[in-house]
Amino acid sequence: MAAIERDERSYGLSGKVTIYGLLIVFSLFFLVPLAWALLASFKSPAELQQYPQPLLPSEWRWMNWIEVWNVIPLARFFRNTAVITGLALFGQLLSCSLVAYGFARFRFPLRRLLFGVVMAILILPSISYLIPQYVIYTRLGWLDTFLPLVVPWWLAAGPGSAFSIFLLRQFYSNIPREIEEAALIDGAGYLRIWWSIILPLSRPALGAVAVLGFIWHWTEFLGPLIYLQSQENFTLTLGLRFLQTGAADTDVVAQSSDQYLMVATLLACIPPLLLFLVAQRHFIQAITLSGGKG
Amino acid sequence: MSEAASISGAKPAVAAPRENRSRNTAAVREAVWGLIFISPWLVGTLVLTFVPMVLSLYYSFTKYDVFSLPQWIGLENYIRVFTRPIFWRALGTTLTYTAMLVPAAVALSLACALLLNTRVRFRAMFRGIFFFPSLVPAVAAAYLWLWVYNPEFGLANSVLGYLGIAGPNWLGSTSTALFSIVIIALWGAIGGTMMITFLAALQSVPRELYEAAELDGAGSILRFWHITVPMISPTVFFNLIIATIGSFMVFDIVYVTTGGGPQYATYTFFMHIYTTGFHSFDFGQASAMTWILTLILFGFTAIQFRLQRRWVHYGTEV
Repeated sequence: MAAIERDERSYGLSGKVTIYGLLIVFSLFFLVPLAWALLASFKSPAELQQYPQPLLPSEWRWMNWIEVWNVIPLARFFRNTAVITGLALFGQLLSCSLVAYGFARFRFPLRRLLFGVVMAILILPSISYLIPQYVIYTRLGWLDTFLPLVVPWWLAAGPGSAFSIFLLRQFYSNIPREIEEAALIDGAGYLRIWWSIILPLSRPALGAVAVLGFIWHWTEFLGPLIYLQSQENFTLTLGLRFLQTGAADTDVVAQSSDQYLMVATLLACIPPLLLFLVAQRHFIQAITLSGGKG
Repeated sequence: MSEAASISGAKPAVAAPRENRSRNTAAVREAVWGLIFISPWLVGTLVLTFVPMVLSLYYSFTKYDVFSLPQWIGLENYIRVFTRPIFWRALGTTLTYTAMLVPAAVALSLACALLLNTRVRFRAMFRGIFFFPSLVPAVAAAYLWLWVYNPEFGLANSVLGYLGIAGPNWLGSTSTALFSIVIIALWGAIGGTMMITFLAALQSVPRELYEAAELDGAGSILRFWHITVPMISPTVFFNLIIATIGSFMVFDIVYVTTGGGPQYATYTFFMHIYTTGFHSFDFGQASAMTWILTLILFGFTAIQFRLQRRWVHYGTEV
């Protein structure tokens, strides 16, 4: 890990000042929009319309963070997003692990070609099949349901799944074969080997795929925008837009809803952030496992 | 990808005929199981990727609105797409956006990785701060920045106001809107997966190379250009490809912040497809556009793959 890190002292004073200066400049760029929104989330509607805009709220309105749950059906949006994320993630882990194991361990005709297709899907723009997919789901009567957002993951379709398959296959190729051979001699079937030996062994890789998958599903916008129509099915990302465009026709919203928009936006960021704090290791591993070498 | 990878581990040994036969059945069995394992992907890719791609090619030659059956109209969709000035405008906007975003994103991301690769205090904290925007949903990022960009009450113009400068109407003016969106996209892109892949690449450069160069009296700038850059060039290439594709498909941020305005200043190719398909329900023309976009991206990627031979350095892997 610490192969080429250079000692801080070897940079000299001006070098040190430059490095820390740049680190702080970048940190400010990344954090300031968040801080600005956080401050706004405690201001009153009148204060948000003040010019010049005060930095700190004159009175900290904690109520904004509670009222927002009544202004829009935020709990409902959270629940929908959680259900979609959970179902899609479960299918993704199951199917991608099966497929990756198939590619890693078995010889069958056209294997190289088919794996090449997996890699091609990784860089194939998803727009090229978006419209017919919409037509297919419409014909199936799946509009305004969660199915178009979940089922593709159970079938390992799309670039996200391709990435997961690639990552898991890398991992499976490095598991020593002897473990499985012993089980084969004991008469275990391949499915059982996969389930009771490979899956438990691949926990780190599955964890890496899971954290990435969680972020993809949680932040998805275009899919819900196209497929979900009724407000009761909205996800958080749609809900934010719903709040902004004033589609919520409550009196409270009619006045001004910027403070609520900021609260809801920050709330939507909390689950991915918490996940990152808890599973930081998995994130870094996911990205480095995929091979920074290209 | 080693071909010898199989569970039953068939060895190419000289075998008795009888054994040979059982080996054949074992090979068939293995192939069948392999196909069973990849079957979810086979079905999914066929039904949700390949069939749709063929269908979309077919739709692009028809008049189609989902509600009635497609009618064959030959090349008319393509002619209509190419003869509408808005198509060229959207294509130009997307190219400008990509030209502004991709080089800046790759360069700044590499800069952040270099900073984090030094032995500084609070490195984990800085890495966390840098990575955090990539966890924020693009829609949420757009709302955070809408509030920064607000011409009267936003942070950007408040700060400029203190300095006595009248700030621009960031997202609301045709001259600054696209640039403002590039900043939002940069915010989400710099510290994310791109930076982490750069960090991993930097850490895999063998230390001996630097030590040898230092003995030869090479300064830090020389060492950077002659050792670091060639050694991490495959990662730069990989990130360029991914970032270019992503940049052509930009949608969430644009849709939420400007909706393509003002006066089409941020109306990107993807917005054009979305509007044509899902607002006007002209699926024929939208399909033609998706194929044009796919071919353009394909061309871009092919060019990048050709050019890489001149500057990407493979081998010397340690």
